[in-house]
Amino acid sequence: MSPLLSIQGLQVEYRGRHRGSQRSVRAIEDLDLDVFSSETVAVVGESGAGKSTLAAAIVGLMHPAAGSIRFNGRELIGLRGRPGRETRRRVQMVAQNPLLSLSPRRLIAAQIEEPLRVHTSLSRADRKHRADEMLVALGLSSAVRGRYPHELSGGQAQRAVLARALVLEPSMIIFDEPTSALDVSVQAGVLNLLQQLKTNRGLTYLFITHDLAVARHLADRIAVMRAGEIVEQQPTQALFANPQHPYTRTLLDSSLTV
Amino acid sequence: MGRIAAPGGAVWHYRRSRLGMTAAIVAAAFVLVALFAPWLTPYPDAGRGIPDLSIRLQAPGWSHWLGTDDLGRDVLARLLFGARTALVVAFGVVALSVAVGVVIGAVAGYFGRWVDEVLMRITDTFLAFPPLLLAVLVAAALGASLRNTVIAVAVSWWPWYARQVRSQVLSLRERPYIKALQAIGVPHRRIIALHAVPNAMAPVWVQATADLGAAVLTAAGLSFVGLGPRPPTADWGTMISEGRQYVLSGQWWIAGFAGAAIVFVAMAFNLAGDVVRDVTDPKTRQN
Amino acid sequence: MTAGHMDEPGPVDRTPLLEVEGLRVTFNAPTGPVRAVRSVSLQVKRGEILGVAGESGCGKSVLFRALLGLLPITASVGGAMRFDGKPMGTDGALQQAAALIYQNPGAALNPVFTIGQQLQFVAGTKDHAALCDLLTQAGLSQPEQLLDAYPHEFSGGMSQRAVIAVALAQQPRLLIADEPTTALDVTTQGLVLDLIAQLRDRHRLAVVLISHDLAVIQRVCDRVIVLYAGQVVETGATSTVLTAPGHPYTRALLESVPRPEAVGEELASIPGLVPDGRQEISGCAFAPRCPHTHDRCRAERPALVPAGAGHRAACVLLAPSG
Repeated sequence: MSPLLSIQGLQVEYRGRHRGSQRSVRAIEDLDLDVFSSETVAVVGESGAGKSTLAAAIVGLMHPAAGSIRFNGRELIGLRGRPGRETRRRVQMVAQNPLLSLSPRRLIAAQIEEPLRVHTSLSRADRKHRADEMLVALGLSSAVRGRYPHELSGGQAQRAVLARALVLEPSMIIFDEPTSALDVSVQAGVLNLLQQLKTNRGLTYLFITHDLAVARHLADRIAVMRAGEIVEQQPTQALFANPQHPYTRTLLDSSLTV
Repeated sequence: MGRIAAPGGAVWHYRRSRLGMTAAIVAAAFVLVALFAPWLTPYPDAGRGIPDLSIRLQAPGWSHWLGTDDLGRDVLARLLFGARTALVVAFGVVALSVAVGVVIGAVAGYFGRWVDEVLMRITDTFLAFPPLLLAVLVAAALGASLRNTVIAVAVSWWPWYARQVRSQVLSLRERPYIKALQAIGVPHRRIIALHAVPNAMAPVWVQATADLGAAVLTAAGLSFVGLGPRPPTADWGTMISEGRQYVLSGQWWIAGFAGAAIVFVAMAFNLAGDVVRDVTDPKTRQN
Repeated sequence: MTAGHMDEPGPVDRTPLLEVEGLRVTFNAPTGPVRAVRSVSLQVKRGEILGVAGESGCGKSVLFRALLGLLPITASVGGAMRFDGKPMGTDGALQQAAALIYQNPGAALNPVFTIGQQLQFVAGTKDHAALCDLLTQAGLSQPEQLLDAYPHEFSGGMSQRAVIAVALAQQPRLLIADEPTTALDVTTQGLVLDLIAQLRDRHRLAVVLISHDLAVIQRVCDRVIVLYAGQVVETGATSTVLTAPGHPYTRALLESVPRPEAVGEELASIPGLVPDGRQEISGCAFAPRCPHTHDRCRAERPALVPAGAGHRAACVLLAPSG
């Protein structure tokens, strides 16, 4: 079986901000990662490991210096125009802070319709209908439609962000720390919802987190990232039972549990 | 313009600043006076510039509260009609500068890199000239008329708005919600117009309100040196310029009242700008 | 040792260093009063770490900011406070004797001064050895070099240690740590918590550790109070409260954490939302979200009642009906 997402030899650099200076910092160093259809792969690591950069590169927010990112066999890097949009709509991203991920002065309904407006030629009424369906599917009351982001709770906002990602019916979602800004009780609800959506819609997840408990709860496979590289990659059970890399061991040992 | 604050909260705050409230009322009164000028004076024809040489240079009195000018026109009527000119200039200048400044600033801030570099060097070029000098040069080149006064002042003002909006958008473009929209594939044009600019405008509205007053002042300056609207259009700057020669011979009221009107309106908009800042800035709203 | 001060252990121990009675904090917002802290009583002894647990909006940070006088003027604070047995106003009098460690160490240090200068300002001494000693106590090695370093040269864990060194320079008797490890990486979290425990031992400090993370509380706290909607819903020894919680909210909070033995299973989430500070609460604040709610919960406001040795919870299920 060929992977749904296949990353090979990926290198991402941040160019030095200062004019004139050519210094660039390499955030991702020769990274390989495959994600198969209907799988949940977690990428864990500490801040500065390059996890978020990886997410940004996959959804096209950063231009890699080298390597390839294939989705469904199609190269994503440098993909533009109509075929670019067609492919990219199949990969959506959900970022860390849901309240900051929503445009502050636009109604929730308009924001959920936004991807449809860009990627489809649906009529206004159809867009509204699809957005409504999605809100209901995610357990949001229709009252949320006419609200602004700051009027939502953290959990509601994360559901709205999910609705925006799902409205295009993607096959894969990249999550970048989706629950780290939420309270545990709210996080539990969101994690349950993610499991449910995955089963019901046959989604594939790439889940970036610093929280080992969350990774363990959701992931079929875990990749441990440090300083721009994946140091270890194993099925979840095996990784916790038998960590190979010393860094993985440090990480497992230092995580606090109740 | 987007929602600045909950309406209830804004009014609540407005009431706390007497001076600001007074200024806002004066500014509003100015706009109303300009709109209804013909109905506010018994001498609308004088306001429109029709002379009556039989009543030249009359001192303020019962029939002409603020006196008459050298062509026998009621000064109050001229002031009221002059307010219309001032209104067109003020809003015209600010609207034009904001429009140009916001577009250029937002594009520069959003795209960064060479786009920013090019647009900001152009902006800097305009900023290198003293604003009034630049306005005089442009007005002189275009020829004196109401429309050209507006263009001349706007040419020297838009760079300030461009810089302001650029710095706002520069920080906004790193926000997660902008990144999210880019990842979805929303076109840049749409992100700028719908999601970046509306969130960059709060300081612009503050500046714009205060600038309405400064526009009146600058336009008066242009008219004073003969680069304003052509007669017989009533205009405060022109009134000062023409009334000036009579001040020494004791007929102070033409230039005097026109000057007072300019100072009054400029100050009112300036203070109203402070009010807009207090209302839009959540930090000052809290304390 | 120049910083810190060794108090002999003695009978003082029986009286708490800090006692707070019925503290209330209300913000006067344009739309009406917002009750951030409805009523909280607590005690901290010397040499003890008290954990303050709760989710966002429960009032845990506001509570101590009020005691330290760090709230905006729109806040009104009520209740009583005793420090070292002496009554004190609740208007920030604590500032003299307490040091605060913030969540974000980067923001707590001034970027334009070296660590050495910042320590100097607070410690009031230029004595090199004394300043180095503070850094060493905070677990930083090679203190001489660090004195001349600027905050941006520090990693997150090092910054938090530097903040702790600055806190120690104030020679506090009470240390208030507000989410001290939330912004840190997993591998440094435990180390910083251990450091706080060490300092508690060495200086017989009273420590208040505010955290939303029960695992953090579990690691170092002797006792814990659990806050919900600006009220204490449970208090007791950490081991008891976190293993045999008496209040349904504490239980729900513990169950919502993903656990290795329940991988892939549905997590217990708490339905509904924390009540807003604008809402009047009659009866139990948790009743609308509680799985065990019955009529009594809505009718009467539960008081803290014993749920075991030194363990109390505010739930009517524990109180004899009457």
